[in-house]
Amino acid sequence: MEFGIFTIGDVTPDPVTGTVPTEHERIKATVEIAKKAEEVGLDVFATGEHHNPPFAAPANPPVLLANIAAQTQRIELSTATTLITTNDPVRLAEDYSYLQHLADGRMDLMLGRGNTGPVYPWFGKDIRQGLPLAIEHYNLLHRLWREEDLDWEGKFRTPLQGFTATPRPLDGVPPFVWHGSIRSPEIAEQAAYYGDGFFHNNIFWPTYHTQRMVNLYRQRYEYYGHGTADQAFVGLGGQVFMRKDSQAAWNEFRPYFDNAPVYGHGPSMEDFTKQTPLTVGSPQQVIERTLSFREWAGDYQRQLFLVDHAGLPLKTVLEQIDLLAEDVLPTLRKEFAAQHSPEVPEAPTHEWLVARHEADKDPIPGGGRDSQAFKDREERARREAEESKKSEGATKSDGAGGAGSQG
Amino acid sequence: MKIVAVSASMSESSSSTALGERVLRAVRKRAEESGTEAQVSTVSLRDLAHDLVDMTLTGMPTPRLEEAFAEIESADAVVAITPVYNAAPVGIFTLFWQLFPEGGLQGKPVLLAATGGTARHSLVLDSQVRPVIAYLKGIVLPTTVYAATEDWGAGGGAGSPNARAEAGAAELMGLVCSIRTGVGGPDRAAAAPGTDAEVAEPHRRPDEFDPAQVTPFEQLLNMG
Repeated sequence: MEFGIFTIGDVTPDPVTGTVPTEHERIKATVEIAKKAEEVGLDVFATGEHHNPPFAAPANPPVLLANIAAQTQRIELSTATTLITTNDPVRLAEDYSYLQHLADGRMDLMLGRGNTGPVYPWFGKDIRQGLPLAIEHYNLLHRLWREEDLDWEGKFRTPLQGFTATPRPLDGVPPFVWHGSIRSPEIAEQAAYYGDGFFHNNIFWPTYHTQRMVNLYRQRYEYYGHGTADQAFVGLGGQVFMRKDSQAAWNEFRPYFDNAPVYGHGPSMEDFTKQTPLTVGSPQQVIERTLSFREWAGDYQRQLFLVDHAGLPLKTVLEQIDLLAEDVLPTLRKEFAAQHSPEVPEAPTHEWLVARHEADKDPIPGGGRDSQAFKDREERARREAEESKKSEGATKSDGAGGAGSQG
Repeated sequence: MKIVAVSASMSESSSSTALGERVLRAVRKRAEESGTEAQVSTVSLRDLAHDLVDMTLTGMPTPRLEEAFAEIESADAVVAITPVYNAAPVGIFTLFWQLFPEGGLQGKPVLLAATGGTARHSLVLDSQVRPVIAYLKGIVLPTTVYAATEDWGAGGGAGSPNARAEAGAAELMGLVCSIRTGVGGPDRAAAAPGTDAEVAEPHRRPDEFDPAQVTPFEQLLNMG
């Protein structure tokens, strides 16, 4: 089980002091936060991608992550999220492979469609095509990392002829991909189809919704034959504000909650903490809340916390990371490890992916011979062949849809 | 048969509460006459006022709103009642339907009722509410029931709120019966007892998160 933090790089006024960090301060603070996470022993640091104020997250996360990789030794670097819709898959393949080399494999990425509609035209894309873009772009990205001399034709970019994306992924093994989605069943289905991970950033969503998305992904992961539903790769979000004394945490965080652009002037903090993963209180309360996620999500592999939100000053954010490392994670690690089924893999590391690749056990998109998906395809092809025989007489069908049908 | 009333009445003693009760009484009576029992429950929007604002801001229904939406989606028919404020339905009534799941009224007859200070607002239901309910795929009945303050002092003759409530209830039950049995109105159902053996379930939205109903990925790939 991995524990880490993720940031969206928002530049939010501190409602208590009225201070607004400059973009420069926010960017430098983000690097400090990542270094702090490494220093205290967190497992993951993930950054968002943004193209508009009030955000100072990188437009291209590998720029920030490469800088952090150079200043850290151990922490896994990731994104939350990389826009699969508006970025050219060729650039994604190349930039993230390059980062993978620089970071010696200490990275992965989370793909998302973004929540800012206006981004599409800024990159010459059609907002009405959000989902088809996500599907075609990832299909190409997946192939660019795995095939050389690629011939490719699609709907959303110029065809490729004998193209090889460079550099090739480290050790010939592409970075692990998490597909992030809040409410699109198609993205959960996409993650399952490829045997990739599924991340639900549930910070604004009630448990019953997140649970259904996770369940959909797990069931379909099994259907595509990548493992049992329990063995699928699930990541969850969460956001916390802690002080040793629970009431002190509530008093200190309340003005931030009440005024934050994303929380404020809506539900009360009492309602919001009940209905979403937001936990305000003592480290012990954060431990209990986080452990409860396992009851409905099953054994999951990655838990990311949002701690630099709502305009909290850097000093407070760094204190939150200390509390997380010192007073929360030791117990969480112990408890999750004690309950974790040995049949369920941990979050993939580069070394794990290399070993899987060498054992010839890479997931087959759409499902290998032993999967229910494969059997259903065969059955469908057989039925279609029979029908065409019946209707056309002697014409022999070659059977529809092999694994993937990505040609 | 299940009828859900959605009431934007702001107090128990308001005229819209009174009109709502009158309409529901007419519906119950009609149901009895056609040999069925109407189970009526009420979703009170006053109780959900804060939840509605919260959902507007967060995009996320509260558990109580989820419950209210599900209650309405499981109904055979809906009766919606609102007071008119400044020539428009009261804001939380409009807000409720603006947050209601798209397509959630599919196949459901919906009877509209409103109260207002003057008869001059009587077309509010037809001009402002009818399009919203139709957008949600509800089948809005031709008759709407509107009661102005002056109506409460007048008799119950033709064109009175009472008469319109009776007419609306008749249309509602007629449509519900034909949808449920698939054979026609209450008269035919009553004339041929037993034909309602196969009673249709109220239409439900497909569950987009059900693994058995998800669009297979190959299909998504090939659409691109």
